[in-house]
Amino acid sequence: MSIEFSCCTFGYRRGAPVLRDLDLVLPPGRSVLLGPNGAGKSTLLGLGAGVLRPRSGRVARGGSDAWRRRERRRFLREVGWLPQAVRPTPGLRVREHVAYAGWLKGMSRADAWQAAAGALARVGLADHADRPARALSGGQTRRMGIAQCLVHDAKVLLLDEPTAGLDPAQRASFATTLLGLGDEVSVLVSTHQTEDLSDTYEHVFLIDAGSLIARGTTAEFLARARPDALPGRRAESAYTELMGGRC
Amino acid sequence: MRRPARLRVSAAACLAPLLAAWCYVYARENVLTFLVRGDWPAATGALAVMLCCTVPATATVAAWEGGRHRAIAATLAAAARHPLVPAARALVPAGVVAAVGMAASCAAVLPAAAGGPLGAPVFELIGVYAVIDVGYAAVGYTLGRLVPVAISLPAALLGSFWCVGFPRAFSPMWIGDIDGGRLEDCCSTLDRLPAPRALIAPLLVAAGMVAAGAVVAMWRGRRSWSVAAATGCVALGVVLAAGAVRDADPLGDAGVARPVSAMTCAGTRPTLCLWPEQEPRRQSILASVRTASERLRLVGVSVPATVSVSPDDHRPGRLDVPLLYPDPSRADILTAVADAAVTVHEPACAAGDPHAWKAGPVIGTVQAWAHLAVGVTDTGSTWRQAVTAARQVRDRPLAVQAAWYRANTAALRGCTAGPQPVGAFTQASSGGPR
Repeated sequence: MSIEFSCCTFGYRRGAPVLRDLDLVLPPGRSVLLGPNGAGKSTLLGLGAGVLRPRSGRVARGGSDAWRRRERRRFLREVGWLPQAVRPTPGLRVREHVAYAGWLKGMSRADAWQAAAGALARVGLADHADRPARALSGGQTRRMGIAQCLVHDAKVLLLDEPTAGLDPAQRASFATTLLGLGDEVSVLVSTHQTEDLSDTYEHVFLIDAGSLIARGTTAEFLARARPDALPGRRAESAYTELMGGRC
Repeated sequence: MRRPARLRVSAAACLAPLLAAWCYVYARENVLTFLVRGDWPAATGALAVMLCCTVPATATVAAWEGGRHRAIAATLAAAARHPLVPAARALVPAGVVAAVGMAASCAAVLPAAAGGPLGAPVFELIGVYAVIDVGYAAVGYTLGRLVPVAISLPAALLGSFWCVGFPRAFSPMWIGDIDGGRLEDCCSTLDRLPAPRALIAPLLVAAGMVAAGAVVAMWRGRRSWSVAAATGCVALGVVLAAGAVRDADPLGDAGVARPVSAMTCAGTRPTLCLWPEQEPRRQSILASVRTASERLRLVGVSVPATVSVSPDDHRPGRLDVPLLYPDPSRADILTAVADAAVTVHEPACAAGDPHAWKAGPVIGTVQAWAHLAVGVTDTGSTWRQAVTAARQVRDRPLAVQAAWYRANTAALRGCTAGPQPVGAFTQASSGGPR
C-alpha cells in the first residue's frame, strides 16, 4: 500500500490554491515527479509527508489518514521525507543527526543509533559518521538527508530534489541506492534532472500549476518524445512536448 | 543520541558551571548575610532572590535549544513522536541549568538554617521555584522556535530577568506575587509561613507559560494561530493568578501566620510557649522571661502565668511576647516582655479621633519606664522626653512607681483622664524601697 491523495486542494495561508483537486495513488516502486518551478512539486511532497495539511481532500496510506489523530502516528512512521533544504542541527555529528531522525520517527535510541550506521553506509557516508554535520559539503548534506529518510525503514520515501548539488558519481550512487530499495518501498522523487529517468524510475508524474497533467510508466512517458530526439535527450524531449502547449 | 552528544552541543554544558559558581557567591554575599541562623522557612524563602539568576540562565538555554529545533523544523514537523516529546527532551539541559543554579544557591544558604537543630527546607517553596524555572524555560524555547537566535537569546535573557526582577517592586503589590518574586518576604520570622495564594499565583502563571510553549510546539503549520493561542494561554494564566491573589488578600504579604498549635508550652512561673526552633534555648529564654516578670511585678506590673512568643496567640490568660527569631538575646527578651506587659490598646472611644485619647501621649513614657524597670539600660526609644520622664519615675520608690503605673493604665483605658504625672503620687508613698 502506498500513499493516496484524494481530491486534495492546498494553498498557503489565504492565497490561491497551489494544488487543486489532486487525485494520485503512488504506485509501488520508484516514481519521479517532474514539473516546472512553482508547479507544486514540493507542496505535493509536503502533503504526502504529513507536514502540510490539505484544505480539502485526504492524504492516507493503507487506511491511515495523515491528519486523523489516532492514525497520524502510524502514517508518519511509515513515511520518510527529504525536504528541499536539509539543515543540519548545530553541533551534532553526522551519525547523531541521522540517529536523531530515527528517534523522531519512533525508534528507540539504541535501535536508531544502530540503524544510523547502516543508513550512512547506504548513502556512502560511513566514513563521515563522526564528522560534524555542518562540516559536510552541500552534496554530502543531501546524502545525509537521504540517510535520515532511510534510517527508520520507511515504506514510502518522498525525496524533494535529492540529487541537487550531487556530482555525477554521487547521482549514480544515489540511483543505485534507490534501486537497492526494491519494490517494497514506494519512492517519489521530485527532480529537474531527466537524463537518467529510464534507468532509475518506473513511473512518471508530471505536474504543472497545481494539477497533474500526465502520469504513466516511464516507457509511456518516453514515448511522447519527438522521434528525432537523441537517445540521451528523450526524456527531456518528452517533458518539453508535454509541457509545450502550457508554457 | 548518546549522552556525550547532549553535553557537547548544549549551551548548558558551558553555562551550568558558571551559573553554579555565580549563584554560590551571590547567595553567600547577598542572601546569607541577612539570614537568621536556624530558621529553615526564612532561608528557603530568601532563595526566591536567586530566581533572578536561575531564570534568565534557564530561559536562555531553552531559547538556544529552541533555536536548534528551529533549524530542523522540517524534520520535526514530520516526526512520528508526539511533538511535546522532542520539545520536552530539548528542555532537559535548561532544567539541568535551573537545578544546578538552585542547588548551588541552596548549598550557600541552607547550611545557615541547618545551624538550628530542627526543621528542613520548605519543599513547597523549592517546588514553586522549580516550576517557575520550567515556565520560563518553556517561554525561552518558544522564542527560540519562533524567531532567530540573534533575537531569541537576548530577548529570553533580558526579558526573563526583567520579569523576575522588577514586578516585585511594583504597586499594586499583587503583581509581585504572580511571578513569585515576593516569596522572599514570606517567612522571615518564626511566626510566618508561605501563604498558599503566594504559592498558587506563580504556579498558575508558570502553567500558563508551559501551556503557551506546548501550544507552539504542538501546532503544525499556521504560525500566527499558534502564537495567538499561546499568548492567550499566558494571558489566561496571568489573569487567573492575579484574580486568585486579589481575591485572597489584595494588600497582604506573601506569608501567613504560623499555627500557634506548633508551639510547645512548658515550665512554671511563667509557663513558656516556644516555637520548635527555640526549644534548644528554652532554659535561657525562660530565665530571662522570669527575670523580666519578677522585676515588673516589683513595680506593680502583673505578668500572666503563661507567656507565648507568638504575637498571634490570643488565647486568654496569655501574654503575647513576640520573640520571632530562634536565638533572641537577653536584652531582646527583657524588652519584649516589658513592651508586651504594659501594652494598652486604643480604647473604642478613641476610634477615629486620636485626640480623644487624652492619655495616649503617656504610652511612650510607660514603655520606657518598663524597659528601665526590667533592666534594659538602652531603651531604644527615640523619644528623648519619654525616656527622661521615665527616668524620673524610676527615681521614685517602688510603691510610687506602681501607683503611677496603675493610674496611667486606667487613664489609657478610657478617654476621660489625661496623663497622670508622677509628682501626684509622691506624698502617698514616700519612703518605700526604690
